[in-house]
Amino acid sequence: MTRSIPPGRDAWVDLGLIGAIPPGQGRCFRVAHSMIAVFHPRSGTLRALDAVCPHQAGRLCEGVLDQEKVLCPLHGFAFLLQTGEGSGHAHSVRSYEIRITSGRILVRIPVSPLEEGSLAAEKGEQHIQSLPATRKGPRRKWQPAARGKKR
Amino acid sequence: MRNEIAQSLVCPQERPRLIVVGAGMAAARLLEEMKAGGGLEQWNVTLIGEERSWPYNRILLSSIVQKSYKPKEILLQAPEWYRESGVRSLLGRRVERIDRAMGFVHTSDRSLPYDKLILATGSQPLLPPISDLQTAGGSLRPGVFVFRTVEDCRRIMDAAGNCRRAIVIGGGLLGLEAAYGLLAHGLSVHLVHLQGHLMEQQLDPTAGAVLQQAVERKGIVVHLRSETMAILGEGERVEGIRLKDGRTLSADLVIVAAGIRPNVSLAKSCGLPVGRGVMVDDRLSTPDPHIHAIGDCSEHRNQVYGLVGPAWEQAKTLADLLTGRNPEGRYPGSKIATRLKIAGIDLTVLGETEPKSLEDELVLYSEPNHGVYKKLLVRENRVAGAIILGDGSKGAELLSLFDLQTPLPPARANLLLGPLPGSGALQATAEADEQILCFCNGVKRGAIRQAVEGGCRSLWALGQTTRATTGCGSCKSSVAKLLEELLGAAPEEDPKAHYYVPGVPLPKADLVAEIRRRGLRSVSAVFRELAGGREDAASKPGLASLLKSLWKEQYEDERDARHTNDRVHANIQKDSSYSVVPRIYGGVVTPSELRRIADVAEKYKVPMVKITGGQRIDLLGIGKEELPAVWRDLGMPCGHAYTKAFRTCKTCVGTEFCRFGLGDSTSLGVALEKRFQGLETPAKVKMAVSGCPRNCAEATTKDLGAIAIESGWQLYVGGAAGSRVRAGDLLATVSDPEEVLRISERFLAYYGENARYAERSYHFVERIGIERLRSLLVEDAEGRGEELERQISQAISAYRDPWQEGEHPVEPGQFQAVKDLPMVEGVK
Ligand SMILES: Cc1cc2nc3c(=O)[nH]c(=O)nc-3n(C[C@H](O)[C@H](O)[C@H](O)COP(=O)(O)OP(=O)(O)OC[C@H]3O[C@@H](n4cnc5c(N)ncnc54)[C@H](O)[C@@H]3O)c2cc1C
Ligand code: HEM
Ligand code: SF4
Ligand code: FES
Repeated sequence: MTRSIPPGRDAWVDLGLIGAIPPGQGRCFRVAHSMIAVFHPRSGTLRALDAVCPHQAGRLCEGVLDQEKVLCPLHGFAFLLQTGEGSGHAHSVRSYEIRITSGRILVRIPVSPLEEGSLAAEKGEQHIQSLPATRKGPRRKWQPAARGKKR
Repeated sequence: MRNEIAQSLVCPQERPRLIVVGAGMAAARLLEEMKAGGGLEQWNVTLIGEERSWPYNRILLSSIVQKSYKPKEILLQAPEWYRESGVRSLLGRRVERIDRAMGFVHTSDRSLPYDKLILATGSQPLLPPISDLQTAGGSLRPGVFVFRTVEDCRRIMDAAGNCRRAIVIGGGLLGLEAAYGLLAHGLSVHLVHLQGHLMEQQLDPTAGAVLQQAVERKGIVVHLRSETMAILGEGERVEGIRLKDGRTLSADLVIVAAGIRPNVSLAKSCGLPVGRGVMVDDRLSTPDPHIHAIGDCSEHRNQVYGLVGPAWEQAKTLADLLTGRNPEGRYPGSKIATRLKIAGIDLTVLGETEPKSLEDELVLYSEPNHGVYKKLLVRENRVAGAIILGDGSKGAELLSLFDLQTPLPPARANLLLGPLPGSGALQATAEADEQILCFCNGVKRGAIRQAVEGGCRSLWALGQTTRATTGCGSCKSSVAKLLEELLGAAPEEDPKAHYYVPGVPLPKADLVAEIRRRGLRSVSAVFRELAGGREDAASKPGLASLLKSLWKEQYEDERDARHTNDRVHANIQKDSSYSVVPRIYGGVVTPSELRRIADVAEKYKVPMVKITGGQRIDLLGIGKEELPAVWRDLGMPCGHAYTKAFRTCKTCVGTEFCRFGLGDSTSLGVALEKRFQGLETPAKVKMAVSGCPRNCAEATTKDLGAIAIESGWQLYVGGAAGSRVRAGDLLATVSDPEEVLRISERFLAYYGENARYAERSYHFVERIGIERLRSLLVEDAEGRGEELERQISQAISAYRDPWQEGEHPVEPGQFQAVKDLPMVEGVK
């Protein structure tokens, strides 16, 4: 279904029409192993960042944003739209080059980082694994200790 | 340094020989104290230290990790100081053995005779039994670190550059500081702690929990009651840790900060008595009169402090004895004060924090949601101990009351809140001059006053002259405040504290006036006209709420100003799924509704179905894309459990079934809920109605609660039983349930009009005062009653069930999945 990206050069990935992202909001796209959030600030250019918050995996595409930053919907950490740097905290996310051609959003996926990115995505999943209660996955529950047994 | 070694060997020894083992904080302080009071020159002094560095301020190591200091900047004295003071220094050398019979210490390559020997060997990190922590050779394996020396720091910083995820084992003072340091390096940090709360040595469980919230807000993930069993990974690489409960956490860097162990092996092997530390008496002497011990390695009256304050007091007493300045000098033990050095978290712990007898008074104040917890133990009218979290200036104030053991004023509450009575009058007195402000360096207020009178104008200059603020830095705010006071410059105030939202520089009243005057109906219009066109994400939801309440139907709704909860009308959960709570008026439900809920739960494989505290049913773990279908199948209205709005009205069964019932609580509850459903409010509003004063629906701890009595209904406002518990104030007693509805309308309208964004009713009622509310809303003293009722009717008539948007989404991708997304095609 998906064409693989030819190795050795950057790829511009078409994410569809700009009209799909209402002004002032973000939307999420899955490209290869990465989740990419594209933001459409009310003024200024479109921006693209990794969609998963490094804090506790909140989805940045769901956050409230302004011209400069987006706030993660879970705990409100701020990330600069241009660079992905954290503002007021030490986490950061990757940013991607983005351009509009005939009303379509193109995001540039640097190929070698993409390969790294797929690694990072795997790592990211490990990280998420250590968080409890992922939807419909097995939920790890606290269980009372068996009585009468010596500890 | 070579020269000095040579010197120490060739110089004939006329003066008695003093050897200090360990060139750490206690040692340096001892020498400083001996020099400052005169008498150092009586001794021929040799300082032997295992670390290569000149003595440095160990407690600033966390600042190195947090990037603000270079190793050179934390030296306690410049290297020349030791030479100029006639101290010979052997650095990078470890004392291997003490020969008490001969009076010699031996390093690997030297033997040096002594007349007096001071042990200041400090302590070392405790390594818990964790498998694969160490290599076969006994050193820590690569990727695992401890945090004690400047070398440790350098290794950590070298490694941190290539790491992304760190785990800190140990949730004490040191572990927290290490964790914060790593965070500042851009690592994601998990903190694993064995006990049930953080800093359990200093804090009670409540304080520990409040601290945890503050730490988690910084971004550190805390795992309590977690015992680390093993370090995972092959060879040179660390991949994570395994906990006793079987969980694994991944990481490429692990710091062990699980406590300290005094360095006692030297003392032990030469036959000196050793408990946890080297045992000393009040003269800081071991049973061998030629050997003393101070600092972390010593044990005095069963106490091993492991803190710098006691080490310095010991150094002072010992200096007095060695120089003959005060031959009667005795060390009575220290009053302990600890401070956590994490930017933005003020924590001071003093002395004892649990009462021992009935005479001990405990004064408590807590506001966990705001990171505030204050606990004070008073004994014989003096501060015996305290925990002060989230209030730096109170911490400093109590510290000095504790330190000076000043008798306390009778009004205990003032000790924790507000200004201390008489603190103004205190200022000019000699007693005030005695108040210690910088505890690291023991700098008193008087010294600062003199320095300012002598021309110090800046904090930096003050630090240079008095050493105040140059220790751990936690006194900076109080010293800066005093400096301003003494200089007579008006203290600057942060004007932002008074703004309605941070991004628009106007307090609420002015903001409302400007919005009305200019007719601003959308959030972007407000930014354009009142904030110079500069949007601020954090201000958007507050503005949206205000505009909606001001303009009602004329409000120009911009979706991007809403939190995601308000865009999709459900509550986002930690895994980015949503929770759905249908409205169940008054908590009274029909079998067919229950059946529909059950069907939906099965059809959509809802991971958890939960009865909420508000008598509702919560379907948790629903994907955003499933919301419209779930709503449709439920066929029930939205329960507004996700937003700042009227939430629920709990009821008890009342006269309908209850044999004690005095009023029809379910009917009133259902009526209240039907009237107010969907009403947006500055913060969430919860209600309850009880059918008699037994109050099964807990109406006295709701924002608005009604209780039936013989003659009618009591209406309470401003109650809460969340992070703060507050009993509601009785607003009115009425005979007719219609009246309950009417006064509730007035209250909600007035609250909507005058509360700050996110100000819960329990703050609001306290701020306005129940008497004023009663005269305004019940007695209608200003004749505004009807107008307020009208405002509410307008707002209510604008109500549409937001779940209708499931059928007619208002914008593209409103209910697009964010979790299991399809892959984008179309690679160019
Ligand atoms: C990161 C960090 C933060 C801290 N923060 C605080 C704080 O905020 N507040 C507080 O009160 N305390 C704090 N402490 C504790 C404080 O640093 C110690 O209490 C203090 O350093 C004790 O001084 P000392 O001279 O006894 O020991 P040290 O400063 O440890 O000095 C002992 C020295 O002796 C050397 N030595 C040991 N054995 C030998 C030997 N056989 N031969 C030669 N040399 C030897 C060691 O190498 C070391 O250099 C902190 C500690 C650390 C590590
Ligand atoms: C993300 C975490 C939480 C979620 C999603 C959540 C959700 C809910 C929901 C949906 C309700 C029902 C409210 C209603 O019916 O309107 C509720 C009620 C309640 N929650 Fe939570 N809650 C959370 C955290 C907490 C915490 C941390 C506390 C306490 C410290 C708390 C205390 C309560 C109480 C006391 C009620 C009952 C309210 C009442 O009786 O009216 N909740 N919660
Ligand atoms: S509050 Fe009174 S009426 Fe209601 S259930 Fe309890 S006892 Fe019965
Ligand atoms: S998950 Fe993003 S701020 Fe917590």
